[in-house]
Amino acid sequence: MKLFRALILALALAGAGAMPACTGHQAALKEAKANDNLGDVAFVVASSYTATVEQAVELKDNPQTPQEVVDAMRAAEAEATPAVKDLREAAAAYEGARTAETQAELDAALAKAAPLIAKLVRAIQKATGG
Amino acid sequence: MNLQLFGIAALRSSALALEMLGRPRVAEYLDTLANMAEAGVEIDAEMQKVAEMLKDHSATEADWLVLMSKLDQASRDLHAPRKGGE
Repeated sequence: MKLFRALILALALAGAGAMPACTGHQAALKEAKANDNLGDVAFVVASSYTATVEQAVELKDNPQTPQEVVDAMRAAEAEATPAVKDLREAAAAYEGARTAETQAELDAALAKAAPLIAKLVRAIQKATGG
Repeated sequence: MNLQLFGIAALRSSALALEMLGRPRVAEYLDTLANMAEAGVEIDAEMQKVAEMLKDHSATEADWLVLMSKLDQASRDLHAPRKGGE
């Protein structure tokens, strides 16, 4: 479980309780660790992505948000959402049979989704001036 | 340095450490979380709910169905015409 170990290592390095802006993420990843379940890590990633898309919707409906930023958010979302749905499929296969193969597929799905999610966040950063 | 800035710095340090360990994709995810915090993406309350759920039980098929339904709705809303026109 290379990815899972890496996430746990990251949490340890980040330091529990040190991030008011990220306490929810930390808490969710800590519970996934406690459950010792890579499928739960995937669920955390998919949940944070879904909440991010909901944030993008709010920004889209804000008249202050430039049209080109809305277009960029839509393009990023159109690319990332299929990858997050693949994550769900891979997590379901992993839950069905925890084999080296399903674990590797879920690992790959997480690795594929992460940079696409990052694109949407970068688009949101433009909208929020971050 | 306030706590939020410290947290963002810690996430970036973790991302750097993971990149050095040969896990650039996971590092990018952590970097994304840092970017979200910096951008003021307000999803913390949602993630607290997820934490509470995972404390109670691992994600089930039903949990995934609810989540994917929310994602589908948000996706449709994002691509719908803007209020006030485009």
